[in-house]
Amino acid sequence: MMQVEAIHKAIDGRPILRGISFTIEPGRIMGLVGRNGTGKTTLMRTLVGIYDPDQGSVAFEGMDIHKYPELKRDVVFVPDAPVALEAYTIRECAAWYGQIYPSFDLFYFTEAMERFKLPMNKRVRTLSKGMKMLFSTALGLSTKARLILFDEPTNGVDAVTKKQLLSLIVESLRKDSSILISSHMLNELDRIADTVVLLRDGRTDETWDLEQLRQHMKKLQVVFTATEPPAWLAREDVFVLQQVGRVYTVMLESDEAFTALKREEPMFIDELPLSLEDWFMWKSGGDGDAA
Amino acid sequence: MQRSIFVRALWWKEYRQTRVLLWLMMIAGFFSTAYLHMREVWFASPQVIVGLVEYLAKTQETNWLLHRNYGGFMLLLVLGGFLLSLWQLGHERRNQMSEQTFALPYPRWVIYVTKWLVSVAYIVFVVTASVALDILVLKLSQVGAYVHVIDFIGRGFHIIFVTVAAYTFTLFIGSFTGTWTLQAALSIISLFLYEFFTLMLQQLLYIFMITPIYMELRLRGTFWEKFNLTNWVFHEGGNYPYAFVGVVSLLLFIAGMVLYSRNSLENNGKLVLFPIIEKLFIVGFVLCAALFSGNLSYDTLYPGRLGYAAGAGLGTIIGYIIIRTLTRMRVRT
Repeated sequence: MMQVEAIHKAIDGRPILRGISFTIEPGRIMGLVGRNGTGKTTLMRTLVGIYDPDQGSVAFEGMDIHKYPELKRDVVFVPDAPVALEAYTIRECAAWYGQIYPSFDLFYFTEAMERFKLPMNKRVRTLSKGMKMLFSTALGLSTKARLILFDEPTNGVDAVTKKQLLSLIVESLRKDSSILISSHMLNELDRIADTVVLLRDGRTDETWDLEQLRQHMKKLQVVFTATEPPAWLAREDVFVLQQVGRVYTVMLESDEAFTALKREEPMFIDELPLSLEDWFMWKSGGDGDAA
Repeated sequence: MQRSIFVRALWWKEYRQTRVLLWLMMIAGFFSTAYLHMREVWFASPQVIVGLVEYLAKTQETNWLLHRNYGGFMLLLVLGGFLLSLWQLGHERRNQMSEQTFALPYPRWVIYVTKWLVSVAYIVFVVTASVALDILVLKLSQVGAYVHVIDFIGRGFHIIFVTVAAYTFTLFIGSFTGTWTLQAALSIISLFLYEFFTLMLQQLLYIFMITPIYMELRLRGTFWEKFNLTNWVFHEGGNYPYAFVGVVSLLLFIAGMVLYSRNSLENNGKLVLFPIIEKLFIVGFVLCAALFSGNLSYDTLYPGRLGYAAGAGLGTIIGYIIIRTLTRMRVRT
């Protein structure tokens, strides 16, 4: 659906994106994770043609989105706050989007507004942060565009609204559509994303299919007999998430590592549920800062 | 792919964003045309009205009916056009509004053309409505027989031409400036730029004895005089340079469209969006600072070449420091 090829982008002479490449497939929810300042928002803005890349290309169905802006009828960007729409009423926004996006579903939008008890004649600026995000998410989804990009949709919203937001997003996914979400909230992506792209130093470090990730990786709690940490812990495919005395919480990237662990004959091995946050902590440099 | 120049959604957006200015321009138009005549030919005492009719019958001088060629009306409209350009481009660079605009499925040049067309439509509408109402007010009065509609139409066309040209100029400035404040400042400065350079260069030439004291810079009728925005608006006498202003406006419109299409929104909040224009801007600013300081130093500290040179040197340094500080700053957007 969308092919991102070696995107480079510098802002104020500082390289932000340094060779981003990945593909978005239809029928999938893709998560975009990375620490603060890794260029998630810059990347999203480049994908929808707000920023022009210095190098590389963004193709939607094989056509360059920067050369053919008409393609954006099917590629919609939902920013982290609907600041640009604040002067309008909800009804005006819906009418305007109806003019822009040919597949705009007014019925879906009105129903969503009723569901969240948002009056149509209310100005966007008078809504609370959570309401604004519910409104802009519903507005973006109502376009029925084939690719919708959400920039931190749950940032700063309460737990109830977050749940409503995420269910709205997941429910809207069709076979021929895709959703790209950048989020700090890894536990949320863990629940809804099919694929995750990790941004590090402006590069797409890794792209993981979460299903494969779970099959591929293991999170274990291990207690070794010896007081000294074994050499096994220094393997490249092993990452120590936590250590309390002789109790280690580790992540393993290969079956060989698990076989090698068994050879060490530890006192105790317990498999723990793997979360995206664990994987992110490993891949983002290990200090566990939020994405 | 098929592209249309008329995009309803963009027209709606522009109208919704700037409609307050349309109504303000309408009110300004009414109070600077029809209302003035209503006071003179409807609400004045019968003696005054009779006096007017007698004067018109005797002299056949109907030109005064145009109220000094609608000078005040035209100035208010030029101001309205200036505010429109600020609202459409400079203001949009704040609060992620231009990001939203660039995310829309339309080519950037179509967005720029729509902004221009919407404003031209406003100007044409306001002038047409105001002049038509004014004609109606006069026709329904006792001086109605002396009203020549063709004079009003001619003046109306001139006002539309001047206002659109001035608006195109300020919109062009907005196509490469990163903040509404610089767009406003540069638009206002450009009104005085010609006079400033004329004065400063004349002084420079005189101080360095390149031309004798009595010799003035011969700029009348030159490109530089015609290119002067003040002359576009305040041109007096006949021979208005319609062809020149028309061609320059067209070129500025095209240049603005090209620059807007290449806007790097990541530079919003900086003074100038394009590095090359930023360099030109720095050079221009430093030059103005040097000329001004040299002149100031010559007039107040030491009336000689040395005084001028020292002042110009100091002005260059201070001007450079100021402009470098300003160009490195970024206004929060």
